[in-house]
Amino acid sequence: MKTIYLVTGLLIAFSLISCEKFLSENASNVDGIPNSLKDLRYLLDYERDVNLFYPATLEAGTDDYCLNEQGFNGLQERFKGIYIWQDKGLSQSNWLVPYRLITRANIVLETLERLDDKNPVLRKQLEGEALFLRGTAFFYLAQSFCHPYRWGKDNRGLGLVLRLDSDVEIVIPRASLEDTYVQMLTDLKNALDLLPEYSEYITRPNKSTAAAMLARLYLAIENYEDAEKMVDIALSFNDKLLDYNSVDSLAAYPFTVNGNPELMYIAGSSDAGNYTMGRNAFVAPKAYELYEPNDLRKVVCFEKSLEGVKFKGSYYGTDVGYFSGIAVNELYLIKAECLARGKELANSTDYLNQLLQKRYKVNGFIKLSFNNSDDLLKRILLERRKELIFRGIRWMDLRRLNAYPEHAITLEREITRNSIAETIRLEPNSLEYTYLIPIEAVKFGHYEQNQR
Amino acid sequence: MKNILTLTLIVFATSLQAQIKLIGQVVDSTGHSVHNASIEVLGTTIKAVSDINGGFSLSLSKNQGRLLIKHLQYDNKELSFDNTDRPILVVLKQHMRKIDEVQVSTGYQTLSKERSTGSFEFVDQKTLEARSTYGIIEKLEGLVPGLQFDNRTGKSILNIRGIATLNSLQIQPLIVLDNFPYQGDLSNINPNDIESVTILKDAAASSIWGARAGNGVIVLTSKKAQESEKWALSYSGNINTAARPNLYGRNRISTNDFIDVELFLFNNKFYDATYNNTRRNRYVFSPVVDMLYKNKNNTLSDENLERAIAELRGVNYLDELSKEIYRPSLRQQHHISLTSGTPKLSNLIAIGYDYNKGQRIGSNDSRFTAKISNRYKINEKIETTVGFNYSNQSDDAYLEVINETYQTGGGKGFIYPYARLRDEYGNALAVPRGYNLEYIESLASTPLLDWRYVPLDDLGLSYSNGRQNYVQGQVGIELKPLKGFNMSGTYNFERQLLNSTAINGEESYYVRDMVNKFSQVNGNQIIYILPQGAIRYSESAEMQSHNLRGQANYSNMWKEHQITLLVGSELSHRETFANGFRSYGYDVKRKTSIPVDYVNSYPIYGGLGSYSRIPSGDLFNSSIQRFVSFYGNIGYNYKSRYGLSFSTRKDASNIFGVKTNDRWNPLWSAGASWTLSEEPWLTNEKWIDRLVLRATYGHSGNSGGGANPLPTIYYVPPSSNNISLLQQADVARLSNPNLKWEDVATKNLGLDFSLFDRAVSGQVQFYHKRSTDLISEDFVDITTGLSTIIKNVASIDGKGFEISLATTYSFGGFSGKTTLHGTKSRSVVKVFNGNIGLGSTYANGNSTALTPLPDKELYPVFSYRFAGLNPDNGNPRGIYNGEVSEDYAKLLYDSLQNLNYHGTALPPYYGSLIQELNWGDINLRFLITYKFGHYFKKSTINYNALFTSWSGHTDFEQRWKQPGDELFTDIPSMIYPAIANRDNFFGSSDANILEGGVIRIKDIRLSYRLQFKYGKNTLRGQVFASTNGGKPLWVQNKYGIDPEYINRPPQKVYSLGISLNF
Repeated sequence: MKTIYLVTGLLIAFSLISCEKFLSENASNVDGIPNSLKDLRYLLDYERDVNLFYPATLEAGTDDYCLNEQGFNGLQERFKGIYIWQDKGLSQSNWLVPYRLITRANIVLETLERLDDKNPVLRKQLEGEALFLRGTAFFYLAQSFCHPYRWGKDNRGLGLVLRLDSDVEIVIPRASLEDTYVQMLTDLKNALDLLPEYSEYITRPNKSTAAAMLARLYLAIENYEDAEKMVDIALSFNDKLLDYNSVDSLAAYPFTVNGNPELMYIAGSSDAGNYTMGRNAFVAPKAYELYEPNDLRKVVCFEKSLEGVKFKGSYYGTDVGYFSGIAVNELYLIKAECLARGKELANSTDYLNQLLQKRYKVNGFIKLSFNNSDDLLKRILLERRKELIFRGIRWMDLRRLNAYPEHAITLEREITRNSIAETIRLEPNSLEYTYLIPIEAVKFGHYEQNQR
Repeated sequence: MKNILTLTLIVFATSLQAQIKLIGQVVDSTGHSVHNASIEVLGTTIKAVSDINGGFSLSLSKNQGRLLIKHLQYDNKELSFDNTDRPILVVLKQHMRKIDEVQVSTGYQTLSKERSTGSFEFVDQKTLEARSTYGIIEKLEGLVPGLQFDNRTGKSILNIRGIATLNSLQIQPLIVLDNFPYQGDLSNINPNDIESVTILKDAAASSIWGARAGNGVIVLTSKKAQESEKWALSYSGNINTAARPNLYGRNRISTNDFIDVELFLFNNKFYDATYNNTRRNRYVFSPVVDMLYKNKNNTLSDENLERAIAELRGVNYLDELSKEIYRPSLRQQHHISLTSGTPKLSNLIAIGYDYNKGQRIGSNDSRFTAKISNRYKINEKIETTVGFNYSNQSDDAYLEVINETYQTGGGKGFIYPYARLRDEYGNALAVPRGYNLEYIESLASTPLLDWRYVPLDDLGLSYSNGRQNYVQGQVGIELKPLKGFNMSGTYNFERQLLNSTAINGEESYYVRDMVNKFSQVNGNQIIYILPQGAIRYSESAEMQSHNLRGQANYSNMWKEHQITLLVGSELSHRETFANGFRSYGYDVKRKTSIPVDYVNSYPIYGGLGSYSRIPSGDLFNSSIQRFVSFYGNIGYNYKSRYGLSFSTRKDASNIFGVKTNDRWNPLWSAGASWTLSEEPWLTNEKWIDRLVLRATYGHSGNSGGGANPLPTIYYVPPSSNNISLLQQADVARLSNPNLKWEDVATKNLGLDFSLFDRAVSGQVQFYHKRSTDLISEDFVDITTGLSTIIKNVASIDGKGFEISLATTYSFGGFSGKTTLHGTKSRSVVKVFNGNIGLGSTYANGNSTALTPLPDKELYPVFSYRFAGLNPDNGNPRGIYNGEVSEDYAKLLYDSLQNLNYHGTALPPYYGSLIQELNWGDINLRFLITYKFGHYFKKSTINYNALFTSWSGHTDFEQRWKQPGDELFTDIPSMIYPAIANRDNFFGSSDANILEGGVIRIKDIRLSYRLQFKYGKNTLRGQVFASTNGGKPLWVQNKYGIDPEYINRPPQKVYSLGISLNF
């Protein structure tokens, strides 16, 4: 009988075991709910999505590169449409990947609210980084999927879907173009306030990064005054230029992350590689022709072969679709342009000369001088074209400058489809400068589609 | 270990004190041995029980007397003996109206299959022994209705009665070994140690397993210590061999055609862009293309070019590969077991050894298993059991062995079909790998290590070794304080440790390539960043599980009522750890390694890559899975005619992120049975032996579906191509507060019958499985940052029936048994709340994904509408908006409703025929399986893939070449440039969808029963020869493609074996 009691007792003990405690053990070391600032730090260090999210659309439609017949015919359908500006909204990633980063940033911001962690410095930095990334993602999405925004003008039209919450159940329509720019500017300005002056790694943004991104944005929307303010902040952290005379022009990868003093923040587009990096993709001959014989960029950044010219001058240091990080050369060009537009000829020319001196062979460069701001501006824009090739900048510049007949150009692509040669053109201010929202997003999100 | 051995020896000693020995064998009228018959010497207390082979032995004081032989399923028999020198043969006759009383095990109780309400399948030891395999699960293929082996993906994926979940990792049934869910690798189990297998198919059978039983349960019961007065030693062994593998199953393009394509492409300047590229060193070119350029540049004469090409046309890479890399396999299996017992203490010891020389050179593996089972009856009220299983597997293989799927890299895919591994003098030759071979050969004068890849010289320089140790122990105590009442406590423990090492030897291509890539060369000077010496990667993975179960059973019978009751609770805990690391500059002999710089990036030699870090290989992993469960079961029987059963179970687990209240998931089932043949109004129908009607209903589930109110993340180490080496995390799931557990409700209706004195017996079952709230990835608005999210999206209706029919017969000296199994099982998605993607999402691919869609079966097969070839140019045509179209972009992005829906890729009809014939001591058995009613997509030519990555198909020969060809071929013409969409459209059009019907002979086995006498003992056993596997007997498609094993024709295995019982 004793044993009965014993065993019965055992059985009862079984059921009384604190099941909750037994069952509350974490199931795995690899996943969990973000529960600490450390978790958020990890989320924001996820390079593949945080530093390489930039959409291919900013390079895919530019006149930086071209594909030969084989290259064009070998493209997948969704890439083909984008290459020849007859996009049907088939490529998801240009929309999905930046929004994935926005969701990541939203998770960080929501978790920060939930966490009760006593580390105000780190908190501030994380919040700043999340806002920087969200603002930048909205900025780049708007360059692909919204009509150009012009500062101080009437900007009616559709903006982006302003997702500020990670909850999937929330369904919101597209915001106005105005609100879209207000949101991204707010995010980036807040980031500027919150971010530390120096970040420990080049993959993490800091104050100068946020200022430089704002400068890029203000320039794109023709707010030259604020662009200059921002560029000044950024340059106050770093204004060192790399002398291309010291770069090994034979190297397959002339720029390294550690050996490039111009580099302030590293970022890029991996998707754009589908267009620009194939064996059958080459630098557009018209672009290559712009470099003068004693221009070092011609040998440092490019390689020539029988079939065409290849670009090898990415500041990312590896084969990546385009470099979109922050570097001093872009800041000089923004500064010069803002000064030129503000009619400060001498000052502007000085910035331009400083930059070009480091790009030409020693003794191969004669300092420029201008007596009217139009010539100066033209030259600055030309240098922008040359210096910032394969940087995702060209598309923004085309959208911005096409509004002015003196700068507007028509892009052309020569293709052979079904053995018939065709020339396809993209006229200035064409609707095709705004891509279609991917049909998969429209289908499930019921967003208003862009015009065609 | 030592103690147990000593103990066992003592036990044997006690049972060896016989004076006069009488031995014999109990068989039935068909000659099959009868196990568990009790043999009593009348007028004495001497008793024995027949063993597995029907053998028994009695220790007597006199050499004459009378025996009474009893067995549940047979009529009692009495016979006298007056001579103990000769073994006695006892032939039992089956009860007129009694059928085999099969005891099935649910893992919580054993019960009589005939009296239960649920749907069970039972596979006994004899049947298991009929096929010699390495693992236990392979033995079950084709043996029972309702259990399907889906072999389409290269490995067998099991399903019981179709699919009841949308998580492809959870389709397979739960495997239970000796009453506990088996957590280790199934390969640890020596199939010779398994006594029987029970398959639980409906809710009444399986719902006692609760939230893990939604896909059915397979219960393995290992051999146990038997109460037997005689010790028994048995040996079984076999050797198996399979010929060299058939490498031609992938239908790769012939050499001749391939060279023609290369000439065609060269003339179209296809290679110019790459050949003249600044990065040409990174691109691989075939020898033909290299020679064509040399010829163009006037460094090779036309004559030499033509001669060289003509020579290459005769080469097929696969011929040489088959000879150099492959060999016939040879596997041997040995198993010895020793049993002994007294009424108080019984033991079993078994040892098994397998050794396999694999088909690929350098590969061999072995397995050693040991098993001890012990049962000790302390007194009438307390009994203890101890079981212990050990398994040690070792697996050696060469790494980096070139094979039929070798890819060259360097912008190309499968190597050109005229690759040669040896020249005419027998010297091993280099083949391209990763870089341009001409360039690599030009580096011979630099201080770099030889950078050529010579596959045959590389053999054995890189190798791997894996050792897996597995231990399982179980202790149980059973208390029987009152009649009909017992309580048991069981603790089960498993531990599995896998240590694997991969070594790329110092001389291997792998190491030379790594060292060279990181070398910095300046004239004759070389700086090594990576040390020379082997590169070693080792990994260990450990699994531990603990289970504790307490259970109380009660059974009683009064008047015409019979009741059985059980309640219990269980705790289970399973944890895994894994870690791995990589060492450079490893000295295999001295066991030393050299530290390297993982932090800084270094330039890659010759600009063959961008700045890179030395790859590190640290790995850490752990997981914990816990369950708490309560369960109960009640069975009631009235007049042994009317049976009722009810069972219930509640599970809770620590599945991550689940809210406390959602952790518990109650499930239940109920069933009834009616034995018509026991009804008074049927007892006079002499031709009916047995007739039972069964009906059940119940719920089971699939674990793993917890809601998470907050987003979850997962941690990843930095990748070596990251800019900053920082710990990282990615988003795993967004918040999902509304997720519910999956539920599977099953109805089952069954009729068991046995007629005409057992000449015909069988079973018919109908079932209806309704799986609701099934969790699947569902498309969402990509603006959320994800393209899919996990949701309760669908309900599946699984309907089907199963028929088993067996007849036994005998004529003259022959006797035989024919068993036919047939299953129909269709799983149709009834409710689907998910979003539907574009047509191409469903038409591309090989239907190996479950893909739920409303009113379609799982694994749906879709295709684009094919409208024949264009008679002018051989372009494939489709139908868009009702019109014939060649606009492939439109055709590919057409919506789903415009595609053809053929059906499912999972056979809805399948079954087998098992034929047994006996003539004297000779037994012939064969098993034929069939599968019908499904579809598959055949592979075909993809010109774009052929041009860019060298992967061609034999369909190339059948291509359209001139007008008129469209009348007898569907294969499009070759055009330049290739259009990927054109190829994709054709490849997934209905021209390539075929019906999947297939019939194959699974096994043929011929065996001969042996019986020798030595001294006073008899040696029994059998020898057998068998084959299994091989090509199908018949396929429904006209191309003769085996739809079950696409690309990988199964090998025919020949076996020879012997088993002996002392």
